[in-house]
Amino acid sequence: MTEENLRPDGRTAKQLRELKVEVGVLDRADGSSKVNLGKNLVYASVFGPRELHPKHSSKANKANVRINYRMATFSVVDYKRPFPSRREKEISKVLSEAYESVVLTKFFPRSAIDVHVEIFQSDGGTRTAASIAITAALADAGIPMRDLTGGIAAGIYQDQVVLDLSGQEDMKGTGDLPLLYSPTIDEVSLFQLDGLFTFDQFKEAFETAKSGIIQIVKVIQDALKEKYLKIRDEIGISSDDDDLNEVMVHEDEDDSINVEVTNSVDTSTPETAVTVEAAEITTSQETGAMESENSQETANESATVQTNNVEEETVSNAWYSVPSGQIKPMGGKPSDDNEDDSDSILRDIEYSNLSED
Amino acid sequence: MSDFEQVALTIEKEYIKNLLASERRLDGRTKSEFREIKIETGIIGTAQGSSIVSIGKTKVICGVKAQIGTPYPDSPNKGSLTVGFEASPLSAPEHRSGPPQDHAIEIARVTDRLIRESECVDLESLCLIEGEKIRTLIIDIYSLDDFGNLIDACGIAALAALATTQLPDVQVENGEIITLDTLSPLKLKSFPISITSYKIGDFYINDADLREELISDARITFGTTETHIVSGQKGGQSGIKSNHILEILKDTIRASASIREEIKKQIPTLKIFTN
Repeated sequence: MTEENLRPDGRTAKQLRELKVEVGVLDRADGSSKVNLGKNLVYASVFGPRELHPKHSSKANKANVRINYRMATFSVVDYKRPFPSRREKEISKVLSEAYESVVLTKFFPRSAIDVHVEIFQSDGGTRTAASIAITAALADAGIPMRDLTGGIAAGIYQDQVVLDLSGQEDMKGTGDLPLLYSPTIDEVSLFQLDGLFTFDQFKEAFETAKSGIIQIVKVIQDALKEKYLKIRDEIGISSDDDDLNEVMVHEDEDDSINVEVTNSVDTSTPETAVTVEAAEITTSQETGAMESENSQETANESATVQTNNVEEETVSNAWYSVPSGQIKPMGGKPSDDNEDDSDSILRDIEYSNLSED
Repeated sequence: MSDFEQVALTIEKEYIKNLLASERRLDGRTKSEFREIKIETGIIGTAQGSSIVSIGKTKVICGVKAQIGTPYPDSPNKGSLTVGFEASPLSAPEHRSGPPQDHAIEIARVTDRLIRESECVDLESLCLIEGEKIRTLIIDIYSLDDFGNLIDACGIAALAALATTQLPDVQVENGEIITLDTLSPLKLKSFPISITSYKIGDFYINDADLREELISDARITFGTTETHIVSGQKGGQSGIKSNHILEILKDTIRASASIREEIKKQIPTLKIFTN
């Protein structure tokens, strides 16, 4: 590397490649995104929450997040064989686990949230580029999440810590540290490392990746906001009618209804249970991924109504907060020794609905 | 599919049939009219040729990889090509990841026949050392958004990718292949496209959208070049009257002329080198 810290593609050591995120690019998916990170081209689509097949792998108390990472045959310089490689399977697994910790899976027991992510052109750092696409697509689908997660790799190139290695740097570099990190909740959800790092290099690389992710999350937020603004223009609401910034500001504690929701579910008592409707709306409000069919005003109104009436809604939606111990794992029916009769009838109805094919 | 969905589809089928009886369709098109076709080329740098084609909301992506391989023993002076198609789970909730399903294999094979039989790629020009080294073109198509009529979208995508394919020049030295830095375009010898007619009751329509495709009784695909009929495939569980086949073919040939015009307009560099 030269004195000016210029890398093969002209970047400085701590500079990201050009990142472009678009959401809502595919119409049949519940949520979708397209990500260009340098030369990487990634599409992601989200289906769900939906019925899970095979049923025996369903969880009584939470949804399964299944991420399917694939590379197109023409995405690499050499031809890639069409069937999934060991590498693709491993990345799918670690990504699925990473998002299990971020998505509020407790709201969707027994269901699946399927995310497909396909790399059509690759140039280093595809798993982290995939994570950017996944986060954007999940938010676009209105899936409630604890935070917007971003991903990027830091590594060692010519004995210096650099951010976002390109394919060329990855080949010649001596260390690679892909990281998925959620800035607001300060949690790492994916961590891999290969190569040779000294302790100081590791510390620097880790901090560099984290600071890169903070920039990336802002780009994802902007992409989600852009779709929201486009819908607002389409349905002709003037900018005075709502306060977009107030909704979008992530650090604003008053608006992070998401956090409240998490806490109330963690306690697992019926008094603090929250309806799914409220959860969905508040989250899409937080991420700005408003569904196009919702007129904005009504959505905002209903969000307020729902959150205010949380206590009253608990009875009809009580099954969402049933501690997992009370549910027979396979049968889909609540246990017989339940004391509360009215509740158990309600649960019967809900479960029979759920177990229908 | 649940019983409810089947009932809904049956009702919808009656509605679509009634519309067709008065020469109308759900989205206001005529029976032979296509949705808007959009073609982007040259988007994948790691492929030698690429395209994203959309017909209405249906969208597919295609990449061409050129590899060096050995020829088949029965055609020592010919290169080879294969077309693959994956109904990507990106594109629809019912598409699962895993080994390709029957319908995806059918689409791949229909598109393969269209490209192969039209002889749009001169396979002999892909031979580098007779009997030893040839070029293999691998044309892979992935669906991005499935809103019906993937077959025709795949045909156009494969053609658009091939029309913009740039192959690295090679030099043969002492039986060794040396790849040079310069690129030459792949020359196309013909202009194949496929058009699929969907049978709904007693009516035939082109370019079915998702709803129309779901309720259609049968379909028949014809691949044509400007001079010949090169491929055909009938699908679906209903039969097609023999006297209808000729009528469909005539309509297909008529419709394909305007589709060719549209493709030429969107790929200005497209040239057909007929001998």
